[in-house]
Amino acid sequence: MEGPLNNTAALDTFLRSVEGKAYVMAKSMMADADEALDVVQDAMIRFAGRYADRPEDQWRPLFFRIVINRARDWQRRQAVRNRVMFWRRYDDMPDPVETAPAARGAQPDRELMDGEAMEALEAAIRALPARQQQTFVLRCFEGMSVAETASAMGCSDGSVKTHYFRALAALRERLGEHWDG
Amino acid sequence: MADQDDRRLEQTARALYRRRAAALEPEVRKRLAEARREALARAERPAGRGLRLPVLVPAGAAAAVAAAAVILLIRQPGTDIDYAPLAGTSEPAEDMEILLGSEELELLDDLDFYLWLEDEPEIG
Repeated sequence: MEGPLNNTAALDTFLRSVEGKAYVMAKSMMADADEALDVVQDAMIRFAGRYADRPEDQWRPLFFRIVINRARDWQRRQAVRNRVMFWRRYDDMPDPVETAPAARGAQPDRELMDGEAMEALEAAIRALPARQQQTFVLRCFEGMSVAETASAMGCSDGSVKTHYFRALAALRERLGEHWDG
Repeated sequence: MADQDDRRLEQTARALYRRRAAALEPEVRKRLAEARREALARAERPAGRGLRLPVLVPAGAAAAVAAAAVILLIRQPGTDIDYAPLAGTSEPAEDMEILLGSEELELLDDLDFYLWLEDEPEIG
């Protein structure tokens, strides 16, 4: 059987192909870019350590399953942290001035428009309940089938359809008809 | 009409996702590449090497027990702390599971502060 030691090149190629998407996906579920990078790093380490010997056609759903689960873990820890540390809640929030993106005068219009559209989309995604977030990023972003999404989320096909239907309705409502990436 | 709007939203969101992933900032790409190399390096190591620091286990266990004590203290009836769960968050057992996780050591760093706070009658 081919093990992790024998498929490093294939694993490297796979991780290169998904790492950027995983980062954008994680960031859409979390407000913090650094934390999103940590989630992707952790997902890559876990995936490479535990699942690299699986058939390659299973890699993508397995990897993104780890990503959404790690992002969800982070969301849960944030919720608990906010409850335990409620008296210090505002101290830990990043300074909006410090964290504002630097002005980039030469930035192409396309990139600027993408940035604004993505920020609106991310905010709308983060306002969704967790299961709807997960369904949306897997179904819409990654284009997974209902069955693949259900497998990644550990739920039924029917639940995926329900979560996705509600997610789309909520996003449509929140983003409005003029939102356009 | 809603179906058409849904399809348009899906197409737009997916295209945006792919463009953003393909046009990441150089610093992000660099960190992702470093993370990938680290993941590959760890995958090549024999199992059980280099991933754990046994000396930290007793300290982590002690911190976890202390965290449990703090949570029990601040959840005692009669305290003035408003501890109503936030919408969409978990039950106490789930909180404990998270707090006792090895990745919450940063949160536990502040335990001395919490314990001191509990001893301050005008606050606690």
